[in-house]
Amino acid sequence: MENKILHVEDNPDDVMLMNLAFNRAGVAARLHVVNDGDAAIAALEQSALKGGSPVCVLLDVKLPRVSGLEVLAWIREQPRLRRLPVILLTSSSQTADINRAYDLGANSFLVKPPDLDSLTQLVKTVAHYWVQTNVRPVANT
Amino acid sequence: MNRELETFNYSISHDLRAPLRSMSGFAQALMDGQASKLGPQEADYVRRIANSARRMDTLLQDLLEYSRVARASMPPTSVNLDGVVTEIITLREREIEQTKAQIEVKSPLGAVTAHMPTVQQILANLIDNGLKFTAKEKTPHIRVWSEPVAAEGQGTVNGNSILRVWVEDNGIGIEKEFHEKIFGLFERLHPSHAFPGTGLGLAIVRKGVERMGGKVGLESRPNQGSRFWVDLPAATEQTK
Repeated sequence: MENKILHVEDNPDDVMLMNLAFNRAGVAARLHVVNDGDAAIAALEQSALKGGSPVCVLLDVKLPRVSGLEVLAWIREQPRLRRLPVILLTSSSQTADINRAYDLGANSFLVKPPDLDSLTQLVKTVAHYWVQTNVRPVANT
Repeated sequence: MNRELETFNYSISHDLRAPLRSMSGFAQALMDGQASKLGPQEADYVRRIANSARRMDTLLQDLLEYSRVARASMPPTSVNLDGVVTEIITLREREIEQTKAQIEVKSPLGAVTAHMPTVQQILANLIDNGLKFTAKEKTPHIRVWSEPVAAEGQGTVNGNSILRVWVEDNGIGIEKEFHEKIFGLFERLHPSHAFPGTGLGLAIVRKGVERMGGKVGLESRPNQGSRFWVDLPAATEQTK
């Protein structure tokens, strides 16, 4: 089965740079992109229904209307999604955001690197751990 | 940190750094994909765009840090200096290996009553300077130690005894006439192509130290390295 990663990001440049980084890193996973919190929730509801949840979620914090932290809180309230690995990927390393993310159940908090080489290295690290190494939660138990 | 400052800093973090990521990222992507089609002049222009974006991002991060140490609340706790320095060194493992730098820490350094994140930032900036401002032919050698300040009318602040932390390097040194100036905002003594930097590192050190009720100074001569000292209130039995 193809590995799918849900990428929640409203900035179109950051979406394109992430795609470039994934291609450069040669990651064996497909990025499914949505641009706001509502779309993320809709996509996850669909995937939970069909039994095809993503390997993990790359989630920006600052999103229009529904924030990344609100999406995270929603995920942790869903019986079929509450164990889904969620990685916050954001510009800001504000202490309040970091602590709130972990309080809400984030698995990881990463700051967006300033250049493409660093982003590519970050993608390699994330993919190696979450796609290849990490043992995923077992569904429906 | 008050709400207005937090919002301001958040905006800088998020909204100003995003376009810089785009500039740097797409310039790099252009060099990746089109490098063979760009003439040397064009390739040089693209590299300059990417480098400028990265420099501006570093400057924004340093400005954010200066803003934090200048305005944020700093509730004091007992700070174990050995733990702080160990973490700083661990985070620089790769650079230390690449430069074959030697960092010698004379433990135990002791504890101070201060704001831990700010102490981390201050000592990290001093150690980073020691690693950076080294002559090309030399291997960086840094020593960190501490001592109680002798009480000669200067050994206490607000009734607490003082611990002086030293960070010594074998770097290029600093002329005496610049010993005060280097702690100013955006003050640089060398062109950026020789030693990259924003000119804010020591301004952050001084502001942070002073806000915690301490002092900072240095002893240095050109080509004879530098010894920075930071005085902070020693941890008492009540704060330990």
